[in-house]
Amino acid sequence: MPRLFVTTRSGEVVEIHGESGSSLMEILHGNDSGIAAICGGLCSCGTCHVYIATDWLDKLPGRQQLELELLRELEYYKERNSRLSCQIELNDDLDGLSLTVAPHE
Amino acid sequence: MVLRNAWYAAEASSVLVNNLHGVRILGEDVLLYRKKDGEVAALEDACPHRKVPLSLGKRCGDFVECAYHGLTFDASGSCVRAPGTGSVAKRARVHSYPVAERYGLIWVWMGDTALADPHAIFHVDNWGDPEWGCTPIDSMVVACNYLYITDNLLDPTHVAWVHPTSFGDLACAETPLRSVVLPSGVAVSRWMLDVEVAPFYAKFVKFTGNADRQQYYEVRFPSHAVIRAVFAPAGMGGPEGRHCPDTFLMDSYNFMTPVDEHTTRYFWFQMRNFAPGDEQVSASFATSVRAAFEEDKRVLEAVHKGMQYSRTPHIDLPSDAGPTRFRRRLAELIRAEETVLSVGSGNALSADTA
Repeated sequence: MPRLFVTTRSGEVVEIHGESGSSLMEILHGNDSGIAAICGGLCSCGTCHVYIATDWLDKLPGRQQLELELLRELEYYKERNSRLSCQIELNDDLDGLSLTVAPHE
Repeated sequence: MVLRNAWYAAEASSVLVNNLHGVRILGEDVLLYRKKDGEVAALEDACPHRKVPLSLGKRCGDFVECAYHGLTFDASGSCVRAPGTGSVAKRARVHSYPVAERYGLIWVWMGDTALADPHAIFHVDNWGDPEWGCTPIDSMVVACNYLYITDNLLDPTHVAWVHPTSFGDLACAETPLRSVVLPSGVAVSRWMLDVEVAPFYAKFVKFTGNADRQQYYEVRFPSHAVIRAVFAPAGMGGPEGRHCPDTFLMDSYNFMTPVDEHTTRYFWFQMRNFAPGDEQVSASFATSVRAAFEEDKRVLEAVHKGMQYSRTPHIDLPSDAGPTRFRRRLAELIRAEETVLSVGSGNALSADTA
């Protein structure tokens, strides 16, 4: 199972093993990583916000218009690293992916 | 937390005849009265002497006379008479609020007078169209923060539980919702295809059998909503639906005016695309809608009380996505307004010390 290195809001780095095919949101949510993900993955609430480590950005599919719209609404949006974790599906190529949970809005 | 630079519905137009009428908006007491030419004036409802509400006084033509010592103010807030006080009148003044009358409501601008633009008042579609019927304005006071009402009006899911005998059916609970951020607010909507017509609407739809139903809930800043209900004969609706003369359209307009942090005045009326002059239909609408809003009131007052306790932290549901986006954007607008205000007062201070 691919591994994720998640920097939580308290600054701690935790290693999480996720199932390929699951969204990052589902994995983070299942591991109590502090994301609310209130809409449950519909790309409609902006509460599963994470920062992807710069080295990994190129390995991810690009942001769709809807995701970008939601991200731009957020106070802690970072143009380069911000993603909604519900829009990223984990796969074996992403083994070792490093990300940070964005601050609470 | 409120937006000041905004128009708020203050009262139904019909309330003002030749009386003095006091209302509270955003924690401020406002006096409303009609001048001789029919125009409405809105003044700070407190005489600058001992702050006796001017609404306790007397209307004298276009002026209002304080009940305590007879200080008299014109519609611009200037004191025109202060009996037996020499030059006091020159420094006595109350704030005069920009005011407009539209859709049977009196609208008051609560922010910086220089920014008041009546064009910014909420736009009601089909207003004045002879094909459309309209219910009279109704209102209630709800003992909750206004944002719990805007939350509720961006949450079509609650109707399945709160209004099971009127607006709701179980399709309302299961079909996923989409939320969109608009320049003026947030909209949440969904189509439910081939569903039963919910009880309230069944009395009015012109066709029989199932319907394609759209719920479209839009809340605009600061706290005004249009809730559109569409019932097309099954197969005729949906996102790519065709226009059908039998399609039932109802636009429910909802204007929330924060009285203070814990109280909201809620105004509403409904527009419909049939039976324009039929008073029986209007009365039936009015009764059913009021009954449904009483159901909302009961729940929302409980929400307001309940949210003050956090033994177990509260959680959000998928249906809170729209409300969350609305609150986020509104908070941004309020922050921007407060920044301008604090920069403004900062300048005033430096000017004083210079």
